[in-house]
Amino acid sequence: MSDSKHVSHWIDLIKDGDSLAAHQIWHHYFDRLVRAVRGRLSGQNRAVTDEEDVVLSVFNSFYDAAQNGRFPDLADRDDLWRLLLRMSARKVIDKRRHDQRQRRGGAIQLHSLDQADDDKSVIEVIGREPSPEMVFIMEESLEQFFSHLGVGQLRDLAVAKLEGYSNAEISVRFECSERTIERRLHLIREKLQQELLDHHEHPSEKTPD
Amino acid sequence: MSIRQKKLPIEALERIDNFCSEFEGKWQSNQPPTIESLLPEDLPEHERDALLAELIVLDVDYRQRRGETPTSQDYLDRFPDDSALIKEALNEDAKR
Repeated sequence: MSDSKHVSHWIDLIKDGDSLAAHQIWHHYFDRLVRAVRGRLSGQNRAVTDEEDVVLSVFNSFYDAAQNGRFPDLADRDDLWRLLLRMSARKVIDKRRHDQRQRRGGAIQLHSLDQADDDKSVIEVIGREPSPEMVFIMEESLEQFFSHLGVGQLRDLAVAKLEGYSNAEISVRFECSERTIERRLHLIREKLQQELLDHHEHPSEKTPD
Repeated sequence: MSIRQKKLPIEALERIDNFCSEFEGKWQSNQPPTIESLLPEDLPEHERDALLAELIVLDVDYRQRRGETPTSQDYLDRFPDDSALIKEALNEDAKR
C-alpha cells in the first residue's frame, strides 16, 4: 500500500473506533508536522522573540529524541503535544468556517466538538499531510502557549516534557518529588485546556450569526 | 480523591500547588512539616480533599527518602474522616 492509502485505511479504522490506527496516524502526521515546523523555523531570517526561541529549541530537542526512538504517546489524551495539536486544529477549523461565512455572506452552523468526536473530526480536518497553514498555526499555538505560561518553572517543565523527557527524569533534574512534576503537568494541561482551548472554543454562548 | 478526578478551577490548582511547594520546601531544608500545618480549615471541600491527597503522597515520598516506612494506618489515625481518600491516594501512588 502507498503511504496515502495507508492513511486512508487508518482513517477508516479510526471511524470504527480503532485506537491503534489513531496512534499510527498521529505518528504519521505528527512526524511530518514537526519536520515542517522545524524546517520553517530554522530557515527563517527573522527577528527572534523569546517564545520563538523556545519553540525552535523544543522542536530541535524533540526531533533528536524522536530520532532516538523517543516519541510522545499521542494516544494519551493528556499528552501536551496532543493538546497543542488539537488547539491548532481548532484554529484551522475556525478559520475555514470564517472564510466560508465570508463567501456565503450568511449563516453557518457552528457546533463545538466534544471529546468523543475529537479524534475523528480533528483528523478529518487536518488532512493527510500538514498544510502550510497548519504548520504556521502549530508554531503560533506553541508560542501562545509558552507566552501564556510566562517565564518560570511551569514553562521549564513544559519544555522538558515536550522535549520527550519522562516525569522521573524531570523530577531528578528539578530536584523534586515525581508527584510534584505530575501535579504541575496537570496544572499546565488545565491551563491549556481551560484558558486557551475552552476559551477559544466557547468565547461566548451565542455566535453573532 | 485525586487532583485529576474532580475538575477544579485554575486558581484552586494554583493554591494547591503553592501549599505543596511550601510543604516540599520544608522537607528539602530539613524542617519536616506536618500535613496539618499546610492544610487550611477554610478551603472548599473538593479543594481541601485534593490538597490532602497531594500532601499525603508527598509526605510518604519524603519519609521514605529518610528511610522511614510510613503506613496508611499512620494517616488513617490522623485523618479518621478521610479514610476513603487516604486509601485511594496511597493505592494510586503505589500503582505508578
